[in-house]
Amino acid sequence: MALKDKKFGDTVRDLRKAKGMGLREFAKKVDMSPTYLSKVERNEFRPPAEEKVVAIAEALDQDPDELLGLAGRVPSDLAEIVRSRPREMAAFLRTAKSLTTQEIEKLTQQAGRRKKRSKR
Amino acid sequence: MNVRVPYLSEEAIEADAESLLAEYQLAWHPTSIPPVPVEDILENFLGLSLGFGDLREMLGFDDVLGATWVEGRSVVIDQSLSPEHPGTVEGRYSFTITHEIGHWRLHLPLCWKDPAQMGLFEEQRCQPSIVCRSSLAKERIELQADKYAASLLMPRKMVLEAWRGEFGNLNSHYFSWDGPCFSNRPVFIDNQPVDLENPTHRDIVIVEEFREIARRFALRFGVSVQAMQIRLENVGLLLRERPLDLFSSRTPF
Repeated sequence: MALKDKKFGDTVRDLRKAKGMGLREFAKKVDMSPTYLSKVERNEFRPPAEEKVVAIAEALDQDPDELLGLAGRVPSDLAEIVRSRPREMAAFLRTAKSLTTQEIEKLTQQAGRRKKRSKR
Repeated sequence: MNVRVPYLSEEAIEADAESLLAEYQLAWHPTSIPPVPVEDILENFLGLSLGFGDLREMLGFDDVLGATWVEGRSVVIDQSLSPEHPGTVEGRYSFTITHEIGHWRLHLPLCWKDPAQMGLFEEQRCQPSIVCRSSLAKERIELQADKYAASLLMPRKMVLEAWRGEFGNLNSHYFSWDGPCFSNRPVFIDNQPVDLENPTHRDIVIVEEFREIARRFALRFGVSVQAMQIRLENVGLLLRERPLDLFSSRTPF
């Protein structure tokens, strides 16, 4: 399912229904009130806080970052990374912005390998 | 809703509720023990969206309980009935959900609009196809949905089985002037013993005794005591009068 094409609430509702979970059952699982969750699902309320979005993503077997992006939120660890080295990270992200998804994935793999080597 | 609602017999409504439950049991979940999972039937079997919202604010009625958007395949229950709301009774919530299922099964053809409007669905903007308000409870469309709800939440077969499990048989219980015929228990109202000889208490005693039985069954079926009592009477297990017996020497009261 292409998450980015839909609103956060519609996406959560569709994914929940696809898993055959009822509203109350799901609300209990992610520790939210059914009324609040229902209003989020119907886009009556804005998406919840980051930790709740992550809990929702995990309960729906979805990538938390992708759902956070749909919720219009930047994961707090990313914000911290940028804050720790603002100039370098901002320059890196601005440069990477023009790359394709595949190129970014390749770059991530390379960075991962470099990180492993430097740990040894 | 300004449409003519055709007459439906109680038997026809109950038959459809039984049929829905049988379809669900066959295709989805072979449960035969109460409570009937009406949320699962609505959301997963019928494929409708369930939600909670401030319908009173949204629709401008103080007594609205639930609403159905046929084209949007969506049911919204007023948030005052949401189970986590303080003071909410689970049974009332379940009954409202099942009442909306009743509308879906019985009144869909009356509400269906031009398919061209289907793409416009957005609960907050579009008017619902059916709005259920307590002040309109006596209208035919609402009475039919109520009957459906009772039949689905408290299926006759499950009620009879529960009764047999409780009392060991399917004999009806009724009440006479000199107290309940099936029990030697003293009757209490508000923890005070009731003088069964005093006829002025008769109706109260009957109601209290009925409620004692209904309360136990209501817990099992996840419904209100009042709904359970009505259903037990409707099925013929609780009788307010002693049934006429051709061979009985005792004069019916």
